[in-house]
Amino acid sequence: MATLNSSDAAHFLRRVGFGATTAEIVAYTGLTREAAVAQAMDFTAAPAVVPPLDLNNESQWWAHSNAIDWWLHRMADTTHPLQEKIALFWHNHFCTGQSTISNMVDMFTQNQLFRPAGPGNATGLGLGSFRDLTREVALGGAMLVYLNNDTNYKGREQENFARELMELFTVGVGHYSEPDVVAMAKAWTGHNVVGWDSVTNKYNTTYQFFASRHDTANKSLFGGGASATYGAQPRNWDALETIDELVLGIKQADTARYVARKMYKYFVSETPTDAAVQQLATAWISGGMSIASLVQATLLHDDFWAPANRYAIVRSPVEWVVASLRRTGYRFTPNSAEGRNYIEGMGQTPFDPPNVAGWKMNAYWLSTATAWSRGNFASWLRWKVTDTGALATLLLPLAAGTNGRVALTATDAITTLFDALGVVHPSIGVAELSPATRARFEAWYTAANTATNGWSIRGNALMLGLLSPDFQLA
Amino acid sequence: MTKLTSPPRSGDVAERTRREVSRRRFLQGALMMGGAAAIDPVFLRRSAFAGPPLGVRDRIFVLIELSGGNDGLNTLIPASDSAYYARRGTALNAITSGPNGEIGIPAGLTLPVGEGFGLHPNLSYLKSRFDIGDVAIVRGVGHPSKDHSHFSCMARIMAGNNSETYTTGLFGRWLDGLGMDGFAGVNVGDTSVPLILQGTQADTTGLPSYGGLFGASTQQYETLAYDSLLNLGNDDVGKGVWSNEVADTFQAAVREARRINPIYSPNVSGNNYLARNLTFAARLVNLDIGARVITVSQGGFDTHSGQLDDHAALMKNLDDGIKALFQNTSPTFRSRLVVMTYSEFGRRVERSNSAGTDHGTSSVMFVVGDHVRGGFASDAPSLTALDSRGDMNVTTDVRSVFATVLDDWLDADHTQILGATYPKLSLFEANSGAGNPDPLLPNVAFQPLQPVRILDTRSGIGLGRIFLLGPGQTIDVPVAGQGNVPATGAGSASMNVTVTGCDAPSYLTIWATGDPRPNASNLNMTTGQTVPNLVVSKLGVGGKVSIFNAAGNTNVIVDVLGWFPVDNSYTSLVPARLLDTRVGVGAPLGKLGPKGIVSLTVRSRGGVPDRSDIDAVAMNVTVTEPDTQSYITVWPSGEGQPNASNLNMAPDQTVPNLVITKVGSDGKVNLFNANGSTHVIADVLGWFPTGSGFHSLVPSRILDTRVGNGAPTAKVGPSGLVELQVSGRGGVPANASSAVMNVTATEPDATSYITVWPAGQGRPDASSLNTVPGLTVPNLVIAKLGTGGKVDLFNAFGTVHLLADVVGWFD
Repeated sequence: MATLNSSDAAHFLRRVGFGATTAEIVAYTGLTREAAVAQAMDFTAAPAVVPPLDLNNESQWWAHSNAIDWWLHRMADTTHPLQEKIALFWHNHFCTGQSTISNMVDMFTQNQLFRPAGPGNATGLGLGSFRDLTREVALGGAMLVYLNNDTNYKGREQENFARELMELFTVGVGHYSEPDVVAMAKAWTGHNVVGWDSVTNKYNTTYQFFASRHDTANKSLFGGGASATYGAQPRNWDALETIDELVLGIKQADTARYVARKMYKYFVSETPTDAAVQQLATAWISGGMSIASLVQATLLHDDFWAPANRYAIVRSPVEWVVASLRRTGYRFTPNSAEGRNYIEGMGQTPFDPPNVAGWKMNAYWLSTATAWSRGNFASWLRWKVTDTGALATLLLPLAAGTNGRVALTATDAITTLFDALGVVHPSIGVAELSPATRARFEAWYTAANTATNGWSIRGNALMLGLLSPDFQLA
Repeated sequence: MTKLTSPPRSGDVAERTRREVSRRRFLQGALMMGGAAAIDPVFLRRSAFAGPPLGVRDRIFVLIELSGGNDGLNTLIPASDSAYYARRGTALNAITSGPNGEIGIPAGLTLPVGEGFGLHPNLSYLKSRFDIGDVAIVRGVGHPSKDHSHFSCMARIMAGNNSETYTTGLFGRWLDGLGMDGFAGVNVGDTSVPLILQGTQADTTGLPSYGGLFGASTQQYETLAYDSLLNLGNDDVGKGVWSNEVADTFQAAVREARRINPIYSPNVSGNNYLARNLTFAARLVNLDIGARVITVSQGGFDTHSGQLDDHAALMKNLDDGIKALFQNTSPTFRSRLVVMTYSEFGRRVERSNSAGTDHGTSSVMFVVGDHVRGGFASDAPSLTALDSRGDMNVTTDVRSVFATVLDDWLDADHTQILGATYPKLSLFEANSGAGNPDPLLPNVAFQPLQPVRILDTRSGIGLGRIFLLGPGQTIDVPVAGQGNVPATGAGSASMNVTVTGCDAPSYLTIWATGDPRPNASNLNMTTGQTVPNLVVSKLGVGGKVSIFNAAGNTNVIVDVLGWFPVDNSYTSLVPARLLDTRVGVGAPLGKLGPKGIVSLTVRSRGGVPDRSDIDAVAMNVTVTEPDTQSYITVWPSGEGQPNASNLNMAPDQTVPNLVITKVGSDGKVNLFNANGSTHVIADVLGWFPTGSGFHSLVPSRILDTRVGNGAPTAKVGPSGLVELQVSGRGGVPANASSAVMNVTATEPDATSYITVWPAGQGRPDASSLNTVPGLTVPNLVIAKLGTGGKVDLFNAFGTVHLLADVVGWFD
């Protein structure tokens, strides 16, 4: 069985987390792939989830801002980053957004569903049964409101959720028909929320079934063939039964392929082959549609380890900011919206994807305006960590001496920088810094290391390092 | 697709973010209206690049969003309609409601615009533009859905295509269709790029209300760091395709930050963010990097209670903002810019019980610009025939307004963009929109253009046939309407005329078609020579110039470089001979000897008037029968002789060159011959008064590759490029639009040509100078200044030294 060398371990930890220290890489080096994957997927010792305090803040803008900081900080602090990366995957798959629903309590409840079970989150489904996760999400206040099933009534069907359930959450475009949308919407009629509470003067988004609003007429789904579980069609399909059929029944193969393709893109590369997708789907079906089996199959797939797929993913704003926080130790000032305001400009606001289709990847994150935002964040962060003293610790050898200059050679200076950022690990022979990056940054160092500019070396080294292609790729 | 809800209370988020954090929000994407929308951001891979400069046929559209639902009835007050005062009561004045919450603005305070209507008293600039016919007022305008939700109504308007999914906006789709990248669509301000600008292809950019774009700092310790990112974009990073994409993106970010950040300086003080953002928008237009649709937003219009003072302040902001936009836009672009206001809906006729108004239906829109057809563009709604909710009916579908802007101003097909056909309004003067040359071209001296070939007898360009111009033949060449010269409005044009393949010694004369052929020459050639010369000629009948060939047969090529508007300060003359040493005109008979100087009077001769404000003249200077290698320098009388040359000659050559020279205070210019003896001839072509857009300079050398001036000390090689900084050198200021330079090629070792064009643009198929081995050749060039005030010089073959002497510049 293949075992991980230090370069493999570094790659693995970039993908299942947000980069790693030398010690973390050492801990995974020498493990078999199977053991490494099993270890990364074991969240029994993950830090306990302590929910944010002000989800009910009268200003839902502030509730949202603080929840963003909360999640970014959890990602930066956790010893079990895969737990958060899987939660982020499902957040983007079962997309809902705070700016639409303005209900941070529901957003957070849903977020806990997305997070694999662990301390403080016993009922998390992020690695559980995909059927159960889909059901729980569908009946959560966030989704009911976001996709309007809260107003899906017999005779006045609201097709929004029915369509997206198939198009984006399970089988994908091309694997359902317009009559399926109509029938599916009817199946979901009456599955609404409690509704307006004139006492509290609030909209109560707790799920409630209203039999009077439910369409009990017989209907056919997916071509009308008999269901192994539910028998002959047409029949009186009800909401959750349709999820069973999508995930475990007639449409299982389509759903497995659709979700496996997204999972592959998330962890491996943007360009899966159909063959690889089918392999993951097959493994997933064999695993009874347990998400753990899909994640495992993905991380153990040869493509995941292929040299061509290393550094093939542009870190999303969340991943890049979290990696920056992890390396520097900086944490956002409480109640400041610092995190929100930077990451919004980069194009990825946690708890608020732009629409139901979610965020995309790689090219999606690269534009002049978003680069300005990443640049401004890196530029700002160097002063914040200068103030906290963290920079002095992180890049101690890059301090200017009494003559105003840094004593290191250019080669050593750049190695020191990228060692601190977890791009190179000289003590264990991981030296994967781009020669071009090295040459340009060494030239900068040599030019800037003067009596008048030497003081700026340390801060600018951090800024440049964070903005280097090497640090922005995973 | 997504749930639509009302946004947070108007101003809530916007104010908070502005106060606390907005300096660093350079949004391109997900949010609009302070966080209520759910719109796919346009995070496409393409980096923003400066687009092509605005052509005379292009137009700019600026859109001001009045967010929250502007009260149209208190913006354009129906001051003679008793129903207005019956429903709203009469306020004490424009900022103080009556004792019982009356909010009708007293008729006497309004600024009358006819039909019994008056503008809000704070709209004085708008009123002044209305009075000169520059403001179209669209009354009773709204979305027929009569949607009362801030978010969904605005999203409907912005999407504009009856889609309920709101994934692209109408101007975003327009930009997509044109394939325009970079800074074609820009939002200025601390709101994100609104849906209306978002497409699926075109990259749109959000610029903040403050400078400090990453990469723009000019502190040395910062620029050293930025340079490493800039340079890394040129390398193969070597970690797969995305490593290069990241490097390219950051290279573009630094490069564009340096280009864009100057719009934030000088700072705009005060609390009027709208005026501030519109000032930056104007400066962005002036940068001339392809901005076509610019959006800005002003919140606070959701005036449910106590509205009069708030609304009055907003009206003042709006008025000052529109004024700032026009006042800060360069005259070069001002008449090609139109600004329009819009809002998601208007407000209810009846006042609320708290001296405000609730959400309503129709509102009012203003369209402002030099080419706007002023007046009322639509009917006012009745204030008595209301719908069941007490709202006015919509007389004008807001989509009709956008359809009109798309078709008549931006030359688009609104049916394609909006997915339906809407009746249009009459908002613009006939044929004033994109696709037409701007009939109101600003009062600038010279419109420089990217060179375009408008005649080539070898390929049939221009006249549609391949031929040689024979002995004694004249052709009439259309110039107006060709290249980027407008069909009307151009009085004269500057062109580089080249002859090639001539089979006999000859000369060309170029003049305005319809005028008698003058006794003058523009171009002299001997057998087999390729010779160019810059020509400035008045355009004659049909916008044409006539070209006469004296002897033999020759090919003729014309590249148009720019044009002077009719009635402009540059006065084209019928060419007249002021100097001919062969016959003793303007100077004693006989050749000009070594170090010889002719002091030539130009004022009050050859059609140049006897005025003290003659700033400069354009002359074609020709040497003939020189006996040695030499050069001629022309400069204003009373100034020191510059280190520059206008004309170079070898023994027995006849060489002409166009010279634009400042005239000394005594009305004279000097001509100096360096070596040997030669005859000198000068034909005057036109003149500039002082105070025109042309600024003559004492010639100054800004490029000499022989000594490392302006470029490295090295000959320019085959396919070699020199990027020459012109602005800021030799007396050319940063705001010059174009420069007049005498460009000389020396020590060429091949038959080649030199092309001069604005930096940052594609190299045109045109030539400025032609070389043969061993000969020094000059030519006057009027070059539009490109990115950063630079021009590019390209040498096709062999190696050559290049020199440039700047002699003037245009506003």
